[in-house]
Amino acid sequence: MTSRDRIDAALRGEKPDQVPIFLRDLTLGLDVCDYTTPEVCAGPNGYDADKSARCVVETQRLLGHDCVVGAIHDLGLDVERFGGRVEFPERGIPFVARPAFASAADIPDPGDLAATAPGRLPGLARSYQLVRERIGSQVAIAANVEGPVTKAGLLRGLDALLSDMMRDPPAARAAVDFAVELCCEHVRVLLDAGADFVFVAAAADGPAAIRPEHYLEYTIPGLARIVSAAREREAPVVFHPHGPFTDSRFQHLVDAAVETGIVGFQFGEGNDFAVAKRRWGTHLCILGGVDIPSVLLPGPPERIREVTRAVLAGARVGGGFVLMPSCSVHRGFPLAHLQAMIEAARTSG
Amino acid sequence: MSDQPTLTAALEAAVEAGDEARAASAARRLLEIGAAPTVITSALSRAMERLGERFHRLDIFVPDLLIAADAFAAAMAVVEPVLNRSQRERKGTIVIGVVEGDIHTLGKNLVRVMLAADGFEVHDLGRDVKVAEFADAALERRADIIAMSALMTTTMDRMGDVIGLLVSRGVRDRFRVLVGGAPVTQAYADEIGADGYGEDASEAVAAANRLMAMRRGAKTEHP
Repeated sequence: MTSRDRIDAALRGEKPDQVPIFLRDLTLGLDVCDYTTPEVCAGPNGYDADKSARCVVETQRLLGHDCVVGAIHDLGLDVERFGGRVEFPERGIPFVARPAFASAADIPDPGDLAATAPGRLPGLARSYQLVRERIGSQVAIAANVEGPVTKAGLLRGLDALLSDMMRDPPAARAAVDFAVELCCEHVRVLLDAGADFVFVAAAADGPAAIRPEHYLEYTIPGLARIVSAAREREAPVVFHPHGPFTDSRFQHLVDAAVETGIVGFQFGEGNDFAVAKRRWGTHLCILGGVDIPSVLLPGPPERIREVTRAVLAGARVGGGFVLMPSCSVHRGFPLAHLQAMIEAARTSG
Repeated sequence: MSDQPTLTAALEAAVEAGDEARAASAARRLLEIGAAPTVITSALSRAMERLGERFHRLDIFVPDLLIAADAFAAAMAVVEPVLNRSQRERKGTIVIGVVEGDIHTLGKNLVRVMLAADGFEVHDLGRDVKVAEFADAALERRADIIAMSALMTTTMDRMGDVIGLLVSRGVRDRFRVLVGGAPVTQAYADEIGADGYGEDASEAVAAANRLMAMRRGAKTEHP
């Protein structure tokens, strides 16, 4: 089986020859290729697709994971496109210094999106194309796209968006509606550029940030639109919101996500994988496994190997599982720790 | 509805519901009927403490705390001008900020409000705070505690850098260092030599109180 076959099989709920590994290494490749962050994300000619693709491919060759994100992640791509400001620390990861929409009145109509200049998005898409050309057909590529509230929070500022949800719901709806339109645009562009599936990264979509009723009101309809956009390209969707979803009080939130048509759900920190496998494992691919703050980041490698083997012992049963760190991996992360996780997975049979 | 217990209960309820107007109104009415300002600050403190506990149990969520913080601030704005010096006495002084390269202020803002509600004097340095700024501000404000937050694994190491700077300047013993944020753990706090760790806003307040008790103990032992 190729790496891509393994991911495909796991997303279909089947059992591949070995558990596939997806690091969701959004900016780690900058370290591997020793590039500064601005020279890739904010060079004189904008987003440098060639260097971005080199980072992704070199990292995959070094670590041997089964699935990559097709570009160095540019968190603020849409923020700057709509008038906000993004900082690019030399050896850090891009962050939003000023959101695009200072007030609810600044939020454009979703219908106006087609007439807006695409900013750095074509550069990002070009990186996906180059990665597909260079990495070949045997490695899976994920289109990393933000979730509805997460994207809206980047554009509006998360504090402001959450306050709007409580005090000015029409403004919050306008922000999320516009954000989802952007998410769908990314889905189409990145799938056309060579991605195999869509990974909806949704740190602010879930009870780690928002009320469950807000999740059902804002996140789920937006996720359904994203799934629909992906289906137009026959691509599956994996969802990764943050929060304790295996807690009995929040399990219905996963059920609601499943009803939108997602094929996979990545559980982050603070979740019980035995519960996840038991409740959803027969009809949903479960992703995740090794906790970043308490295991993968502090190490040491031997402990990482032990935890990885323990995770796999339960989660791999019956297939439909992709091993991942509990969230995304960025530059500055110890490569040896990721290698320990991968090595333990590869030698676990 | 003009007796003190009723108005105090109304104030607490308004803060917990995140109703700025009702919180400010209740605080004003309490002052009008002659309630001591500390009656108001104590009520605010109780309300925020309950909110912290409910947040910790995930009975309420970040947006609830955000609007409660605004209601708290609205009531404090009413009472602050009439607090006399002795009533302004604080549990301790804290400088708080999000470390360099990180602009995720949500958690820090919640901790700031909860600390203020609990009786600390809090100086907010904001986000993307340079290593030296923490040390300079702590010295300038004669702070008891330096509180730092990070949301990214790529920025959390700045916390250790701040501690390293305090050591190199020979002032490490003057301050207790409290750390928190999504990727931060107790083990990480121990590794970098921090004195305290808060998993969430209410635990940060509890940790700050422990640190102040330790500090008072240390001062007693070494006057």
